[in-house]
Amino acid sequence: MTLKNYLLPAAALLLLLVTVGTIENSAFHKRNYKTFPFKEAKKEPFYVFLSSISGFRILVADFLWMDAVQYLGDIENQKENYKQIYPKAKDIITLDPNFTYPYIAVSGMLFFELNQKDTAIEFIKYGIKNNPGYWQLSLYLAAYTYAKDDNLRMVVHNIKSAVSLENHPPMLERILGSIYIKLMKKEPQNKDFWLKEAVKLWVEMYEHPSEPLNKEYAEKHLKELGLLK
Amino acid sequence: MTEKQSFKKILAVAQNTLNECIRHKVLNILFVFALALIGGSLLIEELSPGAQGRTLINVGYANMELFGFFTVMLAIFIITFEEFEMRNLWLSLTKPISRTGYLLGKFVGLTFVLLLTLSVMSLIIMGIAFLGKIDLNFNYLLVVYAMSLGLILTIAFTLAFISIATNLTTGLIFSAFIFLIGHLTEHLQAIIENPKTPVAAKSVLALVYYLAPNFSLFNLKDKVYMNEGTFDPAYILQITLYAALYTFLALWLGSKAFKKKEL
Repeated sequence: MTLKNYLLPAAALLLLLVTVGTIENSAFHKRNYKTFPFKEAKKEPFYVFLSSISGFRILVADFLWMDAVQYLGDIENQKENYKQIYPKAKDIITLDPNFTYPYIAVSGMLFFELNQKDTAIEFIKYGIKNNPGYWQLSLYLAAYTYAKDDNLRMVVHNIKSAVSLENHPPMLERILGSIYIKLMKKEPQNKDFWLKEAVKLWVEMYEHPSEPLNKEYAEKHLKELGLLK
Repeated sequence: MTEKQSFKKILAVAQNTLNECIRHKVLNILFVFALALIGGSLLIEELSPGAQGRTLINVGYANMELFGFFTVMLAIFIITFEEFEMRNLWLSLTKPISRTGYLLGKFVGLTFVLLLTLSVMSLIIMGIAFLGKIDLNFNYLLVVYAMSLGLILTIAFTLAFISIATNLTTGLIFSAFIFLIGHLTEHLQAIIENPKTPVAAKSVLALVYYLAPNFSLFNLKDKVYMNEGTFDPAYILQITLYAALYTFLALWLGSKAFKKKEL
């Protein structure tokens, strides 16, 4: 075997090293191939780390989201005040910080249902930091900030805008209904106006429910008002 | 022997490999199973409110990569087992074809099998996405393309390991091990750069980092939501060149070992 036989593979090896250097210095590589922040995962950091290194980060984030939905759907977990939902959500967004839906759904749950207002605001801010182009998150942040300051009119304004968007969490419609009830008590002089708004929402929820629970919720309120038998 | 004749012989071996794989029942069952799982993702998406379309496509990507890998491994196992253990190889090598040509033919044939499998699976996913009104942009094709590059590279170094190893099982286990290590490289660098890592461990890890093929470069499915618009075309060209060079080196090494192998 002569030296000539090794010339081509040696040239290929050299070119390979140059290619590796070029790839590692490319803007795309620097932007997308960062060290994985697995320590930010709250519930199962090791499991989250393993999912990431196996090359199925996004898929596992989807499966963890399904798990979180099942957790929220189980009425038994209400006893512990859904305390696992935030760690679960942190694991999901650690795996995929660009998965926008959990930011919306979990922050809404934390803010309005579990009264963890600061956590919800911190969570949605983290979402905005990672997804600056997804403007809907800013809308939710505005709603939370106004709600925290008890500016319910601005909360209604922001939630109404969010509800008008396609693919909003169905829970948001029930939250809007609850805010109308609060406003009826807070502003007795405008009670009729808020009642009219609430009825309009409940009728819409009853006739075109985003999920079965919304229909039940609307039906209950419409029956209380005597508008439904 | 002219270049054209050698090329025809390589293609003849490739065609034979493709035909063998298509006729083989085990591979067909694996293929049907993959299609069933892709169809099954329609049920999974119901459990994922707010992310239905995304889940469906992500399950599709995972199925394509996993079943692509299993198809490659199983096809190599079946073909090599039949050739070596059942002595079919002796008959083939009595024909006027060099051992390098034979190995290249097997590589091309297995690549055809892989591309056929991936094409059918991606067409089905595209069909499901079309029916479900899920928006699939050009990045979908680029993800599948990058996935194919990684799996073609897997074929090349598996053939090389089988040629080097004394038995088939060792070659396949080693190859699967390299496939796993190759996916770790994205995080290996962080461990090397960590000041707390001992120097000896750093050296070993650096050796693994530079020698093992970096499969995370081909993993665009995990980067798809991080990028707005189409993936950088320059990056796609770079990883294509990377895969081509690595494949060439693996096949060169494999052919050298296969030439010297006692059958």
